[in-house]
Amino acid sequence: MSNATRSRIPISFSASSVLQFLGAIASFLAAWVLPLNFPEFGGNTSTILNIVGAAFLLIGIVNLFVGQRIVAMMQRAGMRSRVLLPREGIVYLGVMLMLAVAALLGHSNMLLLVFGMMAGPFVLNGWVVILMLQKVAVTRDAPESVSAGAVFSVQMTLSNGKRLMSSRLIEVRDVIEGSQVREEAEITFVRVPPRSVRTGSYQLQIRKRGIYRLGPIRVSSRFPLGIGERGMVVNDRTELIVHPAIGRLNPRWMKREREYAESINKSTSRRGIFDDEFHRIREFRTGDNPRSIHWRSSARRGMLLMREFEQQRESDMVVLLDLFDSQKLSFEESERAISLAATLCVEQTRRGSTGLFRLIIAGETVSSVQCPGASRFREAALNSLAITKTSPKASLELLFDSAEEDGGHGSERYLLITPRAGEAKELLANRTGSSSSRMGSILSRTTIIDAHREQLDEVFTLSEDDQ
Amino acid sequence: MTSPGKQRKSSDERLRSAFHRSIMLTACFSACILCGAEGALLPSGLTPVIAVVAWLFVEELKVFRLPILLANTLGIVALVAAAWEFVSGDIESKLLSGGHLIVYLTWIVLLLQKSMRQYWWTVTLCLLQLAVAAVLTSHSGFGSALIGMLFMLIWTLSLFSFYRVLRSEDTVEEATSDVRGNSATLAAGSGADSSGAAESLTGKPSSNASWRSGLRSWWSWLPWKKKSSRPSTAVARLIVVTDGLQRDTDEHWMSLRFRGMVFLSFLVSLCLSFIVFTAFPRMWVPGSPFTSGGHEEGPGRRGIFHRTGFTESVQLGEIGKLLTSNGRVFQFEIADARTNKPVNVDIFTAAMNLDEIRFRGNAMGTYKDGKWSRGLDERRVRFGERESPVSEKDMADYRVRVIQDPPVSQFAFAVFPIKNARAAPGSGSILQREVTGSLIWASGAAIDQNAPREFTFECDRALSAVKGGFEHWQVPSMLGEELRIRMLRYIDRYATHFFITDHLQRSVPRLYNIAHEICPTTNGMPLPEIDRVNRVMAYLSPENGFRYSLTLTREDQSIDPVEDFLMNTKAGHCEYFASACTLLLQSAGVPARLVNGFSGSELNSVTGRNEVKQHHSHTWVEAWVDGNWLTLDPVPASDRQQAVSSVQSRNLLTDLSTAFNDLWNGGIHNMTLERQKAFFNPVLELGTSVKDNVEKQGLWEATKAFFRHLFTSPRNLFSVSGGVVTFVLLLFGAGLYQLHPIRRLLSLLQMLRRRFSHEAVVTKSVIRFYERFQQLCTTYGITFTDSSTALENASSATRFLHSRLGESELVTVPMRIASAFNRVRFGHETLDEQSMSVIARELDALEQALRNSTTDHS
Repeated sequence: MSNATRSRIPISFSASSVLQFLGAIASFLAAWVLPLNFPEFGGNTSTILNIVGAAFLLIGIVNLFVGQRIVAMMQRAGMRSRVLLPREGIVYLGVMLMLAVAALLGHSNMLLLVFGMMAGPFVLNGWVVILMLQKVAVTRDAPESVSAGAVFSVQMTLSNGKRLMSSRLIEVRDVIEGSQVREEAEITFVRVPPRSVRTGSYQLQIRKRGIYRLGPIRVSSRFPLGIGERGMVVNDRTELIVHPAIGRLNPRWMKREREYAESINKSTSRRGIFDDEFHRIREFRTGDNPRSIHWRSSARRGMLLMREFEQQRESDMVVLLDLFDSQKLSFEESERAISLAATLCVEQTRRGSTGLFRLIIAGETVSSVQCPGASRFREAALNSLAITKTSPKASLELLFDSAEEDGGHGSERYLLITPRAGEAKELLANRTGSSSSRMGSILSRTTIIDAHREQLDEVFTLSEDDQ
Repeated sequence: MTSPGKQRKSSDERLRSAFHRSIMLTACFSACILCGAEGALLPSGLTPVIAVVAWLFVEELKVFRLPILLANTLGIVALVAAAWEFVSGDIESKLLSGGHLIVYLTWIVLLLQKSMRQYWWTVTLCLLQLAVAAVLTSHSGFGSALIGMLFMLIWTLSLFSFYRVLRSEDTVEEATSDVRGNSATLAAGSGADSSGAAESLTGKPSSNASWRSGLRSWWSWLPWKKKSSRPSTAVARLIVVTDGLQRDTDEHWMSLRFRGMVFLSFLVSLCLSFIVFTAFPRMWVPGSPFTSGGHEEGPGRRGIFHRTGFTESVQLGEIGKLLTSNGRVFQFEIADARTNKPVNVDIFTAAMNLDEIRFRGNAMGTYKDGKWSRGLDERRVRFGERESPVSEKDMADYRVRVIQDPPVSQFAFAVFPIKNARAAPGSGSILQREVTGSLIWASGAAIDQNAPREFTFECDRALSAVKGGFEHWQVPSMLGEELRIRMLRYIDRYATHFFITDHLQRSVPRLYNIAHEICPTTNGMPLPEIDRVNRVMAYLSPENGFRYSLTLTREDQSIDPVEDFLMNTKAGHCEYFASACTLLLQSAGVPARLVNGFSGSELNSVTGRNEVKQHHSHTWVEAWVDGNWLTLDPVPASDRQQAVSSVQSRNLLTDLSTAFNDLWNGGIHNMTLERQKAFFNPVLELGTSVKDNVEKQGLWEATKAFFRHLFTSPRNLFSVSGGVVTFVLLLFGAGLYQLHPIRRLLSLLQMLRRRFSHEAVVTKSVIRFYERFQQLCTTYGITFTDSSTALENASSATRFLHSRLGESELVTVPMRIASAFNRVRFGHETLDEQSMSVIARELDALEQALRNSTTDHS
C-alpha cells in the first residue's frame, strides 16, 4: 500500500448504511413527535425510540467504516446479493429526505406530494433492478496464459432464464488482481431477451509478468432509472499466468551465435542414421537409401515412403538466468533480462522439436526446468519465468552446480544472463581449472550476456521499444 | 436498404437527440411550474428561453459553451444576488431567494458543456425547483403539473441510463488502445522492486475510498467544477482494460417496447407515489418556526379568513365584486333528519316556506358614509353543547351539512330559522350572536386555517310558520298576558334602539324626506308597520324606474351613494336596493337591518352536492314587523336571476374540475392525521376485531367464523375486509410459491398428474404394442440402439425377418407397427379397438412364426 493511502480511513456509502441513518433520523423524529400527536404514546415510548435511533446510528456508523469488510465476509459466507446506492441515488435520496423533513417541520402536504412523486420512481427502480437480476447466470471464458503486453479478450456469457422479461443494461464487472494491483473490467449487456444467452468480451493488456487472478464477477443493474443498483457476486475465480514479454532476437547476434554453436564439437551418441533430426515422410525417389524406408507407413499406404532428415548443426543450448538483486540493476533491467531468457527459450523450441531444452534460474533458490518436448518445455519455462523473482541471495555457484548436476552430453552451449558478468567469468574460469568439474571447458562453451540495458539491447528488442 | 451499422448509428443519434431534448423540456417544465407558483414571470420564466438556446447551441450545433472560469464566476454572482435578496427583502423574498438561486444555477449548468455529472445536476436542480414551487402554491393545477413532471422524470432518467451506456460505448470505440482514467499504473524508474511486483500509485476511488478522497470526489462532482484529467507522464500503465459492450445489431434504443415500458413504469410509479403520499404519517412537528403564523385579518380573530363583503362592516358596493365570480364558497347536502335520506333543494325550500334557498350571514343595522356596520357588541351563545341524545320529539325535520371552502369566512352560513347547529370534529365550534342571530365560527388555535370547515344545522318546519319571516326573539308562552305585553314592548324598544340608525335626517336628508313622502303620517300617527313596509317595497319596484344592474355609475358624487341611487341612477345591484330599502324603513321608523349571505345554489352533477358560489352572493333586508323579523327582498327577482345565469357556466367540465378541486383539497392539500386515520380505520378495525375474536374463540374457531362470515354474502366479500383478506392470501400464496420446496412439490404434482392423467394412460396403453414388438425382437437377437428411430428399428427387423422367414407376409409387420407407433407417439392419434386387435394378432402370428423357425433351425 502506498504512503498516500495508508493513513486514510476507508468509508463506503452503501444502501444499508444510508437506510440505517434514515432509520435513526425517523426514530429520533418519532420520539419527539409521536407523544405530542398521540398522548397515549407517553411514558417510555420516547426512551425506547431514542434507544432504537441510537442503535440505528451506531450500526450506520459501523457500516460506514467497516461495511466493505462485512460485505466481503458475507460474500465468503455465500450471501452474495447486495443493494447499493450509486452517487445519483444518494443525491436523489438526499433531496427526498430534505423534502420529508421540511414537510414535517412546515406542515406542508405540498412538499410531501413532491416527496411522494420522487419516492414512487425510487421504489419502482428498486423493484425493477431486483427483477433484472433474477435467473441471470454468467460464465467467463479466459485464456490460461498470455504474454505480457499482448492484447487479449476475455469473454463473458450472460444467460437470462426468465420466461417473459428481458434483462436490460446488465453490467458485468470482472476483477483482475495481481500482487498489489487490482483493476476492474466491465461489460455492459444492453439487452438479453428472455430465455436467451448473449456473449460479450472485454480486452485486457497486462504488461507485467506474474500470476493474476480473475474474479469474482459482479453482476449488477441500475435499470431503468439509475438511482438504485442491485449487485450479485458470482464467485467464479480463475488464475491467469502472464508470461514475460517475448522479444525479437537481434539478427546479427543470432548469426554470430549460430556460427559459434556450429563450431562446438558434439560427442553425442547416435540417435539416427545421420544423427540428424527427423523432418518428414515423403515418397520414394530413385536413388534413395533403402535403409531410410519407413516400412510401417509404406505398408499402410501401399507405396514406398521415405524418412527424410534434416541436418542439425547447432548444439543444444542451456539458458542460465542469474536474478541477483543488484543495486546497479534497475527493476526494468531485471525484467528485460527475464524477457530475454523467455525469448531465448521460445526461439530455441521454435527451431527444433527434439533435443535437450533446459533453463536454470538462480533466484531465492535455484530452479531448473528440463522437459523432453519443445512445447512442454516452452510452457514450463515460461511459467517459471512468470513467477520468478530477483533475490540478493541468488548464487552463481549453485547455478553452475545445478547445470552440472543436470548432466548433458558435454557439448551443450551455455547462455548465461547475469548482472555480474565479471564475477561469473571469473568463477567459470576457476571451475574450468578445477578437476572436479564435469563441465569441461565450460568457459569456452558459455556466452555471458550482461543484464544491463545496453548489452541487452544488443541481443534483443522488445515490442514496446518499437512503440 | 440501410445496413445494420447505419441503422445502429441512426438509433444512437436518435437517442442522443431525444435525451438532449428531454433534458431541455424537463428544465422548461419545472421552470414553468415554479413560474406559475411564484406568480411572477422573472426569473424562472426566463429558463425556457435559456434552455432552448442551450439545447440548440451547446448540445445540437455545439458552437457555444460556457467556459469553466466564467461559470464559476457566474456561480459566485448568483450566490451574492441570492444572498442580497435574502438579506434585503421581506419573509417572502427570503423564501424566494433560495428558489432564485436554484434558477440561476440551472441557467449556468444548462450553458455548460455537459458530462454525465452536469446532466444529473440539471435533473436535481429541476427537482429542487419543484420543491420551492410546492412551498409557494397549493393550487390543484400543481398536482396535475406534478403528474406531468413525473412522466418527464421517468422518461428522462430512462433515456439517461441508455445515454450513459452510449457515451461509454463512444469511449470504448475512441480509445481501444487508450487507457481508462482508473487504470493502475506502474512507476517507471522507481528502482528495482525486489518483490517483482509493480507499485500501484493510483487506484479506483471505490476500492480505496477515504475521507479525503471522498470529499475530493464530492467536490469534483460539483457541476461547474472541471474534472481533473491530467495524465501522468511519469508513469507507465500496468493493466490496460478496454471495457466491452454487448448489443444486438437490430437493437434500437427507443423501440416501441421501451416506450411501452416507460409508460408502464410511469403508471406504476404514479400508484406508488400515491401510496407513499397517503401512507406517510402526518405527524407534524408542533411549534415549528417554519409554520406560518396564519394569514390573520380582522380584529383579533385568529385563524379566520375574511371574504370580501362578509366582514363585520361592509363598504357599499363590495358585494358587487363577488357577483361576477364563479368561485365556490361552500357546498351543502340536505337530508331528512329522521330517515337520513337526501332531500332535494326545491322540496326543502317549499317545506321551509322559502321562495329560494337563502343562507344567512351577517346582519347590520347602522349606516354611515356608505358603510354598513353592526353597531353593537353582542353576547354570543354557544350551540351544539348538548351531549345527551336528542329525543324523537325534539328532532328537527331537516339536517343540512355545510362544508365551507377555505379561506373560511367568520360567518357560518345557514338557512334561517334554525333549530340547532353543530360543528364537525376538527372544525372548532359554532356560536350564535344574541341580537342579530348570525352564526359565527369560534376561533381555535389548533384549527387549520387552510382546511375547509364543516358544520351541520337543523331546520324545523314549525319554526318557519310565518311566511317570509321568522321569530327570533321568542317570548315564553307561560308568561302572563301583562308580562308578555311588557316584554314585547321591551323587545320593540330593543329593536328600535339597535336597528334604526341615529341622525338619518342629517346624514341622508334626501332619503329621509323620500321615506316620509312614501309613508306620511295621518294626524300625527304613523301608518301601520306593515303598510310602511309595503309602501317602501312598492316604491323600489321597476314601475318607479328602478332596475337591477351590475354596472355601477355615480351621477352626483357630492351626495350619499344610496341617495344617488334613489334619486338619480335608479340602477344597482342587490346591495343598493337593500341599503335603500333598509334606510327608507329606518327613516320611516321601522327597525330594519341589512343582511348579507347567499341566495340560490347549483347542483354538481359529478359530486351530487349542491354548491353555492360567489355569484350567489346576495343582500336583503329584515324588518321588525309585529314581533317577527320579516325577510324582504326589494331586488327585482327576474333581473337578478338573469344576471346570475349570465355568470353561471355549468357543464360537465366545470363539474369535473370542481370535483377534482374537492378531491385535491380534501385528500391532498388538507390531508391530516385524522383523515389518514379515517382512511385506514376499516383496516385497523378489521385487525382489532380479528385479534379480539382469536383471543375469545381461539385461532381455528375464529378463522372458521371469519371465513364463514366473509363468504356467506357477496357484500361481505366485496368489502374492505374481503379486499384485505384477498390481498393477504395472494401475498401468502406468492410467498409460498417462491419457496423452493413448494415449487418442487408443485412440479412433482404436475409430473404425477401427467403420468396418471387419462390421456397419458391411454397413450401408454396404446404404445404398449411397440414395447412388445421390441421385446420380441430382443428375444430373437435383434438389438436396437437408443438413438435409432422406430422406422430404422423396423427396417433392421425387416431384414432379419427376411432372412428367417423368407418371402412371408409377416416380414412387413415391423413397418406397420413402426408406422402405427409414430402416429400415436408423435401424431397424437388414438388407435381404435379394431386396429389394436389387428396389431395384436399380427404380433401373435409373428411370434409364432419366429418360434417355429427357431425350432426348424434347431
